This record gives sequence, structure tokens and C-alpha cells, in this order.
Amino acid sequence: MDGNAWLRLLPLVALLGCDGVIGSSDGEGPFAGPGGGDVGAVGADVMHRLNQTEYRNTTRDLLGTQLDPAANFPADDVSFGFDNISQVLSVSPLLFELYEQAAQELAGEVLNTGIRDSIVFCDPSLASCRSDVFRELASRAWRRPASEEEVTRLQSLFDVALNEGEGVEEGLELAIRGVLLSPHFIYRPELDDDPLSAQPRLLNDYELASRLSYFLWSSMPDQTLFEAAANGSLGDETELRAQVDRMLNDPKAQALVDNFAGQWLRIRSLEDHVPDYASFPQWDGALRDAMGQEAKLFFGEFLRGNVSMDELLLTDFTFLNDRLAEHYGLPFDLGSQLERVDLDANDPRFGLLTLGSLLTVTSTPIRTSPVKRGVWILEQLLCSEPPPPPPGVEGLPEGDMSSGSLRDRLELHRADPTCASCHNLMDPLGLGLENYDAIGSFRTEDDGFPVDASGQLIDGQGFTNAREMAALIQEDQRFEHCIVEKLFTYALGRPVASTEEPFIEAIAEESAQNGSELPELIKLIVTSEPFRTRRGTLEGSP
Amino acid sequence: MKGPKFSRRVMLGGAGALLSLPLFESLIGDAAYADDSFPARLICFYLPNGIHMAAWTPSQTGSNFDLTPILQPLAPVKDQILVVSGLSNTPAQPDGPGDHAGGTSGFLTSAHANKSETDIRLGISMDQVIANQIGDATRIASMQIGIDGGGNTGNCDSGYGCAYSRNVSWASETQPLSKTTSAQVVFNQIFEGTDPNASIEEQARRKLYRTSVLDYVREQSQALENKLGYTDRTKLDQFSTGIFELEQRLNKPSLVCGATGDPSDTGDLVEKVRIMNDLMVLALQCDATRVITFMLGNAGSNRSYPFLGASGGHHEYSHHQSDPANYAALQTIDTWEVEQLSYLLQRMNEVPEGTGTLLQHSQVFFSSEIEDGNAHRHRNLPIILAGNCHGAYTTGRHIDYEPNKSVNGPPIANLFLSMMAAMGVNQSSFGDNSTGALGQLA
Repeated sequence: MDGNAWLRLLPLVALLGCDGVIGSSDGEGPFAGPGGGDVGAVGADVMHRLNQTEYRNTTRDLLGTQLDPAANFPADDVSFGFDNISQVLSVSPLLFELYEQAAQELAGEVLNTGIRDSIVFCDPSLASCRSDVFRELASRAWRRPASEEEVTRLQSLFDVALNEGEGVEEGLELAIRGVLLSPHFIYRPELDDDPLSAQPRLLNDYELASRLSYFLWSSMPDQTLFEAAANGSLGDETELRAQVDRMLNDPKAQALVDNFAGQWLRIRSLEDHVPDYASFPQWDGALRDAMGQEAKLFFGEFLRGNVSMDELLLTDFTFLNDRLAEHYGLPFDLGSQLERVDLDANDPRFGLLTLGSLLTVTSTPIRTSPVKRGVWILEQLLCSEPPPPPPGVEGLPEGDMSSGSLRDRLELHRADPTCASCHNLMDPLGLGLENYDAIGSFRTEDDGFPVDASGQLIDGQGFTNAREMAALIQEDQRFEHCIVEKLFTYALGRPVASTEEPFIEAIAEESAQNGSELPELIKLIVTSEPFRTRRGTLEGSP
Repeated sequence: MKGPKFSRRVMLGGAGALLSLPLFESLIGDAAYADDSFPARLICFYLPNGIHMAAWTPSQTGSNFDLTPILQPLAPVKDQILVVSGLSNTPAQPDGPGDHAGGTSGFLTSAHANKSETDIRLGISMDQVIANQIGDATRIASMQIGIDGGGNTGNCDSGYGCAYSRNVSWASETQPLSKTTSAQVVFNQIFEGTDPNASIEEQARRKLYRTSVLDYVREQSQALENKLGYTDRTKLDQFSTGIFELEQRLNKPSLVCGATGDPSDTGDLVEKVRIMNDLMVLALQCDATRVITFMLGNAGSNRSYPFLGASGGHHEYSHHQSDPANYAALQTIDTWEVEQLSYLLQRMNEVPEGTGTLLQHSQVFFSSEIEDGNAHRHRNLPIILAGNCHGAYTTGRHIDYEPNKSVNGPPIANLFLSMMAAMGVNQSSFGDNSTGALGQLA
């Protein structure tokens, strides 16, 4: 059986037994149009509410503010592994209330600090100046030109304060609050001429500019991008690709590291993970921070196109400081800042799977979890979610357990045919990483047991250690496809529709032909039909 | 006509004791009550991962029952609690795996969640049915508070969207009410608009400005709505609801208590839970709201409790496999959870209201999304109902509704009908499977 054939068999084993792991998905297809839709049709879009990160970055770039009212917003719901999925980003009365407070705080800050002059750039006692100020601010905040009617309406909000006998400042404050609480700011509406139509249409240039900037920067377009939208040049593919290059070179592209890689590679989870102090007294904030930085800097190399995604699992470099080098047992002479170091073929560090952060967050506080690690690889690198465990299935007991006994227990567990059907998928992948303990240190023994990291994948290919296993995963056809699927989901803020598989296939193929560099892959997604097209939904359809 | 005498001296305990509460004397007489009775109030307190039942369930029923090890912290308020055993929540049973999401979403809804990561559909929760009816009487119709915002990454539970795992209050089938995990936000919600330094004139102007901005935003929202398709309209409806609710609040009288100070947002769990408990008491005491839900963790929380000597993950312990070491860890965590409840109840009991106390005028529902963490059962749920809510319950007892262990006990939806009735909200049915109000409570 080839790697894809068994995947199609998965639903047949969907109800067979597993381990008590939370965090796996049911692997059901994403929402398709009514009746499934036509193959090759673009998926449906839902009006996107700025998530917490996007709100924070947008107010920063719009106003230049240092305030961060978004820090107190309730957590955004996560779907398909990301917190920017439009369909589940809702507004509760509490969140609305916090938006209203935020608008007050931000407007107050704009008018009373040094950032005032950049927003109020003329003499606001003159009506003509105020029109210019409101037009400029609203157009940037709403990410498309404000109409004259909208500017006039802001002027009348300004007048409320004058009518109260107060001054220009109070009036300006009201208008700014209005701009920031407007649904045109909180959401990113993409309006159809006929709201009841589900016909796909090309985005206009401003809509496309926003999609691009929220994908690459988790924030609003900058002046250059607005200008490109205004002169209509984004419709040109060469110009669109040039914009991607420009934007990836901007420091704001760090958002892709923090938000895309931060969730895909679970770097963000480090903040919430607390290894057991008694088992791992060497764990502390400095080690955690170094691991988080290592993972981000590592991904950054791919984002800059310095390394092909083909090498994600087998690289000859990583980033270390003195603390992390010591933790990994590598003899580098380093300071407290992380630096890129070259690894040789005998080093136990060789890419994504040996990042301390990933190895740590896929462990329990006390021990490694080969099942969690295996599930992570299947879900995040191969997009092949194993079926979740049936109800009532028991997990492994906690407490002292060496890797030797752990492997034995998992073997026993896999001897049960009910469990074996999915544990044969997950366990070998996780056991292949048993040379790395629950905080990512390399080990050859565990509690006196020699570590055995050999195994066999479900398709029969064998490996003797983690490096060989990584090579097998990297060559799996599903790997390249999965990277496209994850990036597409994040870029569009929605899952891939079943009708969109041909787009994913085509992007994966073209990316492979072009050397699988991440910036090129991003351009392929940005210039794809789903990214440049909008389709609404009909009543009653999901 | 005479208003109820809400206590004026309100303090945050512990390290949160930064508050002094200057009173608005002029407003005291304005509190809008028609008689001497204090209103009924509700807190629903959620804890994750079920309970180690062997150390929870009292062996005797009736009023002569002994507190089990996990229930021991409730000794000071034993005569004010009901230990309720044997109720089931079958709608919370998920489709296939996903018991934590199913149990948490069904926690107050007794409704069956639609298994999806994007098509979120459930049902209205019991606290929101109550808030819809009595919420107008207070500045805030209901409050949603919690400790954990949500793990930063990953899926939630077995194909169920995270909304099912992080929220217990649902305003409608499709509208989860997100909770705040910030003490600062809770404090601002309670005391918003009660600036003791502002003149009456200044306060009136602030209100006018806020109303004007809301009017403007509502116009925009309405204009936008006409240009949207079906799904996007549903999205914008949530925004419009936010406008409406805030406008309503601005038109309500100010709170009878005022406060200065600033509860700090701390990363320390014990401290954070205590401050949240203090703030909940404060919110009820000041009559800022009468309905609160509180989540001590999110569904299937894997938090570790190193300060209790339980440094493994809670969810992992809960898959105990009958291992005594796991039982011991669970019992430690569960007992700590009950201590937090006990603290809340004792604080409520210290607030005098007329001839009674805040606790006697309230009901506090304390339970988890499942029974046993290993078996993921949705029957024989661990429940404490505290406070007699103006005599609606005869407390100081253990009631077992599932004496014949081979048959599921009555639906918990029936308890919710009784709890609604105690709040003056009479319905004949609730959730997916109610059969009528629960007996034996009075």
C-alpha cells in the first residue's frame, strides 16, 4: 500500500480504540457548499472579525499607540488549529463592551500624547481640516476609502460635543471613538453587489490588500499597499508577487512566525506548559524562552527563503545560546543571545522534530508521551488525523515510568487489535523520538533502560532512529500537501473546502517544482483563485 | 416604600484588599425595589475533569450524613448545602469521543452539541433563561467569569470547536457568551460609570457622549446589515446585540456601592481564584448582577497543581485507571476545588442582608462536566447546591436520586427547572430532556 491508499481506509477504523488524548480532530471534511459543491469551486467566506492579535496590531499601526486594550479581551475561539477562523470569531456583549472601553481609551491617548499630530495634522478648528482628518482616519481604519457621506456623519458626531458647549478636543474624541467602534473597523466586510448571491467574484483591490496584510502581518495595510490598491495595480500578478516580497522583508512579517508558526508548531503552547519541578529541576523561564526563540528563529530561516521547506525535518543548523547549548549537550561557546550554529550529521539535533519546544509541549509534565508526539506529527505534518479514542478508553497511568517500560506498555496496548488499528499509526512516530525526554534533552538511557528509538511506519518502512524517521516523513507525499493546507487555512481564515482540493494539489505541485521555498509558496497561495475570490453563502447553508 | 439595605462595607479579601468603598449616600434611597425582600441570586460554578467519586459521595442520605474527605472543607457551611447525587445529563453525551466538550457545553444547557469545528450549535443555558427574565433589574444582566482563557493552540476536544469547551453560558443556540479571565475587567464591569470624583453634570455628559457614539455605530451597523448575505448578517447580529445591551445599561440607575482601587491581575492561581470569588460576592452584594457563571478551568483542563504536590496534568490524572497514586492526586485537587467553593460560600454568608445573609438569598450550583474522569460518565454527576434561595430548598442534606444504580437517575434539566423556579422563572420544560421540576428539594 502506498502512503495515500491507507489514508482512505481511515474512516473504516474510526471507531476503534486509542489512548485518552485530548486535542485530536475528528478529521471530518471542512464545510462544503450545499450538496458538496462542484469540484474546483472556491469555498464560502464569512465576514471576519479582527481577532485579539489583529486588533492589537491594527490599533498599533493605525494610531501608533502603546496601549494594548486587547490584552483584556476574552480569548478567541480556536478552530482547525488557528485562532483566526472567521466562522467561529464571535462578538459577545462582554467583548462589545470592551471594544467600547478600548475606543475611549485609544481616542483619549491619541489626543493627549505625541501621536496627536500624526492623526490631527491640521488646524481642527477649521471644518475643512476636520473633514480631511476624519476622511484620512476612517479610510485607513476601515481599510477602504470613506465616502463623503460617512465623513459628514463623523462631523455630526463631532458636533454633539460642540452642542454641549464643549470644545474641539471633545468633538474630535467622539469622532475618533466612532471610527474605532464602527463595524467597518471591528470586522472586515467584503460586500457583494447582490448580498443574496453565492456567485464567486474577484475581490476589489482594497479587499485584496486587506487579505494580504492580515495574512502576512496580522494587521492593516500600510501606505504603500493602500496606494497599490488605489491605483489598481494589485490585479497584476507580478505586482502582487512584488508586494509579497516587500511585505515579507518588513519586520511586521514576524507575525507569520508568531501566529502561523506559533500555532502550527505549537510554540505558543510553551507559555502554558509547566514541567514537573521535581522531575526537571533544571527547567526555568530562561530555558523556556530560549526554546521559544530557537523555534521562532528556526522558522524565520524558512520564511526568509534561506532554506527550502524540503529541509524542514532535516537541517544542518539551529539557533542556540549558552543555556540551550548546555541543555542539548552541544559544545558551542555562546553568549546569552541566540545565534545560528551549524550542526554535523552526527549531532542529535537536526531540524523541526528535535526542537526543544516541540518535544516539551508534546510531553506530559512528568514524562514523554509517544502518543501525543505521534498524533502531532500525523495531524500537523501529514494532515492525517488519527481517529480519536472511543469513549471510556483508558490512558496510560501516570507516575514513574521509564521509557523502557513505556515502550513495553505501548507494545502491549498495540497487541490489542482494537487499539492497534490506530496506535500502529501514532506510536512508532512518537517512540522514534524517545531519545528526547519530556523537556527535549537527549538521552540514551531512561531509568536504566536503554532507549530503543527504532520502529516501522504503517507502510512497512523501517527506521533505527529519529533522524531516519524524519527522512521518511519528509519524503512522504502528504508532507508537502499538508504544509499547503495549513498555510491556506491560516491565509484564508477558513478551512479548505472539499471542492478546493484541486487548488491545493496544484499549489503543492508547483511549489515542489519551484524548490519548495516558503516565500514562493506564500506567493502561490496569494495569487491563487480562492485567495483572490470571494464567495458569499446562501441562506441556510453553513 | 423602603429599599433593601444592601451592605455598604464591601471589601476584597486577601491581597485584593485594595478597595475602599465610598458610598453614594444620595443614591441609597433610589434603589428600585418595591418591598423589603432581597432578590434571589445565582452562581453556577464549573470545575473540569469530574470528581473522584469514592471520596466525594456521602454514604448516608438525608440530614444525618458525614462529610467525605473531599467535602470536608464544607464543614463550616454544612447546614447550608445540599449534596445531590444521581442526576444524569444524557444530552451531554457526545457523538463518539468528545466527552469533555459535550459535558461542558451541556453543563447548563442540557442540550446536545452539534459536532463541528465551525458550525457551532447548542441551546440556551439555564442561567441565560433566568437573565432574560430578571436581568433588566440590574445593571448587568449576567456575568461570565473564568480562570483560563484557553490554551493558545490546538484543537479542543475530538472534533468539537473550542467554543464548546470554554463557555458554559449560551445566549442562544449559536451564541456562546465568552467569559472574562481578568479581575480588572470584572471590577470595571461592576463599577463602571460610578466615578466618585465626577459631578452629576459631568456624569450626565459622559453618558450623552457614550449614547451618541452608540447611536452612530448602530446606524452604521444597520446600514451595513442591509448589504450582507445570510451568514454575515448572523455575525453582525451579535454586534448589534452588544450595542443594544450596552445602551440599556447606560439607561439604568447607577450602582448603590462605589469603589476605588484596582484588583491586580495576578498569575498566581490561588490568588486569582480568591480575587474572582471576592469579586463575585461584591457583584451580588452590590446588586450589579444577579446571575453569574464561573469556570474554574476549561473542559478537560490539564493544569498541574504543583503547590498541592500534584504536578502532573489534571486531565491525565483523571484518566486514573484505578491507580491509587492517581486517586490520591485527584482527591487532593478535588478537595482544593471544594475549598474554593467553601470560601465563596463563607464570604456570602458573612454578608448580612436584612435578617438573613446573602447566601440565604442565593443558590450556588457547583458541578463538573462529567462524573468520573476515567469513565467519562454523564450520570450520577457530582453536585453541590448551596444556599436555600429564600427557603426554596431544605439544606443540610444528601439526596440520592439514583438509588437503583442500574438505571439513570432523573435528568439534571429537571433540577434546572427547579432552580429557575427558585429565581421566579417558571417554565414547564428545559433543554433536550426535562420531564418536570425535581422533587425532594424543599
